[in-house]
Amino acid sequence: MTDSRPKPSAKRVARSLEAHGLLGIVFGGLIYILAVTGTLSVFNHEFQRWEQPDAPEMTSISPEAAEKAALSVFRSEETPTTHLYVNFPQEDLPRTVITTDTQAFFAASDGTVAAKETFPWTQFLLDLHYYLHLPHILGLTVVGALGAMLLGLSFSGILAHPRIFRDAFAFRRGRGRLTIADLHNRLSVWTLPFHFSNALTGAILGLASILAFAIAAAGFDSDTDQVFAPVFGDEPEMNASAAPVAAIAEPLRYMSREHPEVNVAYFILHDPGTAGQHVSVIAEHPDRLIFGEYYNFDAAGKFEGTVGIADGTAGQQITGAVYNVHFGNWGGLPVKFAYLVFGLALCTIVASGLKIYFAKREANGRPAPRFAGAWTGLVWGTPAMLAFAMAGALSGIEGIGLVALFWLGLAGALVLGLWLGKSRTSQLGWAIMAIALLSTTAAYFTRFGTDAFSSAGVAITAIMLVLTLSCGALAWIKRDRSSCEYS
Amino acid sequence: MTFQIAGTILSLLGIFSLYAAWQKKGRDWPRLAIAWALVTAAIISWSQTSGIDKGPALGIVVVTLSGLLAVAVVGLRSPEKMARPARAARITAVHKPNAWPVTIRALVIILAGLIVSVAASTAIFMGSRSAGLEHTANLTLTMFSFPMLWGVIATYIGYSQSAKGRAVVLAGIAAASICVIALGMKGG
Repeated sequence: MTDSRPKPSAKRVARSLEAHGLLGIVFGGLIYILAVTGTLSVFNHEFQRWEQPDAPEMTSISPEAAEKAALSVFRSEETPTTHLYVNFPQEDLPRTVITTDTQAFFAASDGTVAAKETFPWTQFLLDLHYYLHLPHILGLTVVGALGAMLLGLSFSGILAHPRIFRDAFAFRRGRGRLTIADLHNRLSVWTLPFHFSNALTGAILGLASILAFAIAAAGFDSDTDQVFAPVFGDEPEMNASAAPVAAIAEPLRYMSREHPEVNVAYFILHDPGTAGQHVSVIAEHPDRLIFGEYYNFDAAGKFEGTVGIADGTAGQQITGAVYNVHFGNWGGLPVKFAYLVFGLALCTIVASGLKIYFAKREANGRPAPRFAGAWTGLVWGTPAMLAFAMAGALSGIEGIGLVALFWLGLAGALVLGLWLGKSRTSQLGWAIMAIALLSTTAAYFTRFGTDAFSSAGVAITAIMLVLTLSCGALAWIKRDRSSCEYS
Repeated sequence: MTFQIAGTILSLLGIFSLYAAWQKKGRDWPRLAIAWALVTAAIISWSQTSGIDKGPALGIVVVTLSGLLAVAVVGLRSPEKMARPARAARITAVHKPNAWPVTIRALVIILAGLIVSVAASTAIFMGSRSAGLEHTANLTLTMFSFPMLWGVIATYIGYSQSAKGRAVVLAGIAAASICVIALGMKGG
């Protein structure tokens, strides 16, 4: 007598697939939005530069000029700022920016204060990726939770595919659902180091607040500062009585004299103009994954020591690398392009995952065409609405206006998908993308004229034009194909 | 530059060897071992090009890109076959998915998953602190554990067929975590 019960391995695969599908259906939409925005966020410095192509640029600024600009901005503040920042020119953002609690200005290389810094679309993009436009702690936690769910998708995906390594190169072309499944599985396997580390670091960054609350409640009398102080250093005691503003040029001179091998990225003056003021200089270490090391100084500019992110405990060094590993800003343009490839792969993995789910349902006689259409609407709507928001930002819309434009537009794309079904939504997708990119490019030329071809503007403008033409051409080809199919 | 070129060549050779090993019907252990050794050598070679953490990270990026390149080549070289027509005969009506079971499991993943994984991570921290682990290492271990635990719990909730089994496992982890936290708090 033969045993008709399924093999334990088949059972495990079926259950793992069920878990994989469940996590995908519930969290896939938001994970997709994070994947798209995360991929673009890798280039946030380039986008900042592109949004304001007429800002003064330089490869370096002297300590004296930085001090002059910082003091000018500080003295112009109506309400005293609690922090004064100087962002120094970097390879991907060759600009000096003086930032207070409420505003930010560019500095020219001679220390004069230039235009106000404003990058509404990049800020909108970063806020979407960091917080999903929710209140900050809640948003960070939701985004962190989605990172944890992406890890769950990786675990269940690996469990669901017993031949995951042996099939690592299998690819069947032109086989409909099987081709999409192969694409999903192959990209998932080969980009596993990326999407696993990215989901993990994203979740760590997002969930750090609630974990700190829990650990502080259990072990530090609810004082969350004590949890992170051994990693990032202690905040000195505040003393709010008035004092002359601390030396700004002196710590910078010290850094170029004593540490020419590091790359000074930020100068931070805490509680400026008070007796308790103190200085941190964050310097990037080019051969490391860490975001940088804190070099601390007193108000007179005397070096007090480092925190130990670069050479402290293993815990400090690993924690210090989390941010850069997530955002891909640790190896210049080549690593950013690698992250672009991996990020696009992740977008494809998520988009194809749900496509496979709906195709399977259809093959099993349980189609859900409306939901499949809505999913297609989300897949196309997300990049299209990001592009429309970019056009909106270039036309003067800022802040909440961009948020409303994006989310209402995305809701519209979902409704359109529900109404039209997946095939027609997909056909329309290319055309809508082409229109969105064309609007953005037109808005950019209208606003900046010849500055669109400046060194700050030309690269992204050229990419926009190429993408517009590609999407337009694909929309045309799809249109021809669909008319052939219907004839 | 030598290490970069060597690392890239080793990476491509390693990926090609993996392809060759996995194309065979039986398991070709020697070839697989050589392939993985080449991949490891590629990462080691890249690790010579930069700092202790950045070098290996660059190696992993190169190996990942080599793998994607190999899949792209295999994909482009594979013959295109026509998809079989979709089985449409069995479909009699558009299925309206029952959202309740999915919603309930999603809520369990979000709420119970969050609470249990926070409790378990805090227990890891308190337990390791009692065992004398240095604070920053302990915090790093805990920060990495928390999302991974939540991911594992989410997978388990989706995987398990028995609601009772899920409840017992989650309650068990939570109870054990609370005990460890309580003991850790007592010990100061």
